[in-house]
Order: sequence, then structure tokens, then C-alpha cells
Amino acid sequence: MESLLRAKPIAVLAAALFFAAFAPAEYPLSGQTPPHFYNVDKETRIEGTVQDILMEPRYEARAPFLVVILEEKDTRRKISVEVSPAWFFKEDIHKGERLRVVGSVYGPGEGLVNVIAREVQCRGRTITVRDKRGFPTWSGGRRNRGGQGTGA
Amino acid sequence: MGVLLLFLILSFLNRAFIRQKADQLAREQLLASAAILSVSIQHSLDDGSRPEGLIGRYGGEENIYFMALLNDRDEVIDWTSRFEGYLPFSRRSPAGEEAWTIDSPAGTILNILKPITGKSGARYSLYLGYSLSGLDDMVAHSRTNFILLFSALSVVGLLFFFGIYTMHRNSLARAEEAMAEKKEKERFKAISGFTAGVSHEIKNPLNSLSLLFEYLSRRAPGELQADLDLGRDEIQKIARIVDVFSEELKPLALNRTAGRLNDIVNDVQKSLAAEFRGKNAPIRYFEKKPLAFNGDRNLLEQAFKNIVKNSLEATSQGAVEIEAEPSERGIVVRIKDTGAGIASEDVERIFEPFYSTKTTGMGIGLYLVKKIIDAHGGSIRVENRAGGGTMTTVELPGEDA
Repeated sequence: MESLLRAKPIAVLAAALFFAAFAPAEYPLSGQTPPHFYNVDKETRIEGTVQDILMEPRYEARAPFLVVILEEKDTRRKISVEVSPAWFFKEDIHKGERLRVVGSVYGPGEGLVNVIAREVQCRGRTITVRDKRGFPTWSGGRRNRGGQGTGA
Repeated sequence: MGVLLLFLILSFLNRAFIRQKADQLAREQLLASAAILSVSIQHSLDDGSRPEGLIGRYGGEENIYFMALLNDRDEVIDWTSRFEGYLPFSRRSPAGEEAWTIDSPAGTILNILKPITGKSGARYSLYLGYSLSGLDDMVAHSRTNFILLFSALSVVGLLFFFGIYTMHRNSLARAEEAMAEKKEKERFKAISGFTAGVSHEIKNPLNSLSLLFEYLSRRAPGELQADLDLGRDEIQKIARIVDVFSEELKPLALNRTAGRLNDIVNDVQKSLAAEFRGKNAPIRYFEKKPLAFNGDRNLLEQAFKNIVKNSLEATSQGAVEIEAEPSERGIVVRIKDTGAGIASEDVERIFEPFYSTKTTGMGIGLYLVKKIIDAHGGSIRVENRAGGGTMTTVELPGEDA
């Protein structure tokens, strides 16, 4: 590290100034340390019937998240699916409805399997809430200002 | 085109160079940040801090999108992210200290996995995601500037080439016109020479014949006098025609006087009234105010008489209308008839000498008209009217000319 700083102090200083000038200011990094993240290595597909629909604080409680409790079709196990902030998800979901979810499994749940959703298929419509690496669609970003991503 | 191509190549090379340099700068910055953070984390671990919850202490740098501490089995022990649940680490991610990029809706993110070994020998890795949004913005701005500049250059280039093309086309047209004019002059010169020669050659025998008829008229018996008079008249007619040819091929010498257009038109009307006595085609003259001219009255009368005569000959029903009004240059006179109009190929040639669309004409009348109008510094054109017939427009300089 020291050798690096000795070798290229001007380059590092210039880089620091350059990136400070262009740094994003939308989301502070500190303080957002949730217990779970979208793990691309643990992606799975599930299908089940809606048992319950909850609004729960997640990620520093910025906005209530839509959480759907599904009962898996074959195994009858309960799965808690974290979908997106409630304001972002504009589809109506009802109890008893069948959903297909592509998402990432996280942490040992208490009697529940926990999943962070990436795609939710409901009544033939596919709603994309995260990209393939788990980037949240509602966070926008410079290339994604169109709101909720959907597909047939 | 060459300039545009050169600009395209230089711009592409320049943008590639900027992109490469900025990318290199970002990688150096990321390496520096990762080195600083890994040293700090290593010290904290050596001081006995638990790895869980350690990352939260180092989350202040704005352009770090996410950061995670992994154990030796590449399991995430602690992490933090600017975006909810977003930590794109995968066991399939490249190993080692080589930085790699991933694409995200928030822009390109530069990733690095930096190994940390504690004093106890425990091995960890620091996973960092560094925002390249500044670089993306710079590249996007560079691209936009390039497109704008390229478009501007293209437009300027196109305008330049269009200008050159137009100039070239106009020069070509002018050259063709000059060539046609030259040919016409040569043709006219040849005709003039030929006509002058023929006139000269005919005049001498005609004089002899005229004298012979005079002599015969004095000597011949009375019953032959009528035939001899007819012969003498015919010879005089031929002489007049030859004179007309000779005179009309000479340049005009104007005897300018000030006058009123109305007087000329009145004389033309009177002169033609006798000639077209039985014809049901009246001549109507309109002028908004008395119009004055400065020119050769006799020649102008001759010119207008020829035009109106042609119009009367072409008109079987309706009137020949003459409208006169002031114009920018002086006076504009429009003579309109209700005849059959004129074929487009004849419009171009109607003022040429010896060109006629009539079976009886010699093609001198309109040629002479144009010659007179040109000599006055005016202009003349003939066109078909929308409702049928033709309109001859004569423009003459005003009184001051």
C-alpha cells in the first residue's frame, strides 16, 4: 500500500479528486447493513399459493416492503418472499392466488424459507423487481428511470 | 468527406484514449482504496475486533457502492451496500487482485477482491464495488459532443458541397447559354451575310427590270399597259421586300423622344382597325394612370403593332386586352389574347429571325419586336395563359431612362 502511494501519489490524488467530482449522492452507504442480500449463487424458482400479504420494514425502514407468504405447491412448506417497496409494486395480489417467483434464498428462517424476489409472475404477467445481479429496479439508476419492469 | 473521415478517426482515437486513461485512473484509485481499507481492517482484526459488524465502520466513501468481508470459504460475513439487498458477489467472480467490471442500472461498477491475512493467520477477503458513473458520464458527454460536432461538420460539409455543386451547375448553365448565344450569333451573322449578298445581287437586276418596264410602258400599245403596270408593281414589291430585309438586319439607331404610351396604343388601334375591319375582336386598353416613356416613338409603335396584330390574328372570339401599369423598372405592358396559345417549344424560339409558326409569315415580325425592345433596354416574354391564349409581357424603362 505504502509503496503504491509512493509510486503514484499524483495519480491517486487525481483519481480521488476525479471520483469525488463525479460521485453519486443519492444513497448513503453507511448504516445500510441488512442481514440479507441478493445472493446470485443462491438463485431459485418457486411456485406457490399466496397465504398472507405483509408490509414489513426492511433495509433501514426507508419504506414498508411488500412481503408475500407463499405455500409451495409440492412440498407445502411456507416461503417468505420479499418483493419490493410497497409503493413500487403496482399489481394486485390476493390470498389464494398462484405466484411464480425467481429469487435468491437467504438465511435460515424460523420455520420459513426466505427469498428475495427478482421476478414475480402473476396472472400471466412477469414483474421484474431486480436485475440479474440483484440490483433493485426501484432504485432507478441512470439507465432505469421507467419504474416497475414488466414483461408478458 | 476526407475532413469528416479524419475527424471521425481522430475523435474515435481521442475518445478511446480518454476512456483508457480514465479507466486506468479508476483502477488505480480502487486499488489504493482497497489497500487502505484492507490495512485498516487487518489492524482492527489484529486488535481483536470481531469481523461481523466491522464493515459498517468503513462505509463513508461516496463512490464505493458496496463493500463486503468474506471468510476463507468465500462466505459473506459482513457487508453494506448503497442499494437495498444489492451485493453482486458470486463465487464465480474472478479471483485474485485483478479488478473487473460489471454493468448495472446505476452505471458501470469496478469490482475487486483483496485478500487480508490477520496476525492469527485467519484469511479474509475484502470485496469492493467502485462506482464508475463519473467515467460513464464523461464517456456519454464525450459521445454527445462527438455526435453534435460530427453533425455540425456534416451539415457544414453538405452546405459547402451543395454550394460548390450549385456554383458548378450555374456556371455550366451559363456556359451552355453563352454557347447557344454564340451559335445563334454565328447563325445570324451567316444569314445576315447571305441576305445582304442576295439583296445586293437582286437589286441590280431589279433596277434593270424596272427600267425595262418603264421603257416598255412608253413604247407598248395601250392594251398591254395594264399587264405592264402589274409587272412593274410586282417588281417594286420585290424591291420593297429586299429593302425590308436589308434594313431590318442593320443595327437600330433610336431617335428618343418623351411620349405617352396611350398615344402609341391609340395609333396602333387606328392602324389595325382598318386592317381587321370585319373581325369581331375589339382591342381594349387599360392603364391605371397615364404612363410616360422615353424612346423611339415610331419603332415602339411598330413593335406594339406587330404584337397586337399577332394577337388579333390568333383571336377568333373575345377581345385583345392591353393592360399597362408602372413597374419597378418603368412600364409593364401585358397584351392578352384568347387564341389557341403557343406550343412550349415555340416559346423558346419565337423571337428568332426567320422563325415563324404561321404559314404566311417570314419570321421577321417578332424578331424585330424583340430587337426594338432590347434596343430600348427593355424585355419581352410570351407565355400561355391559364384560361387559354397567350400573354405577351413587355417591360420598358420609364421616362427617366
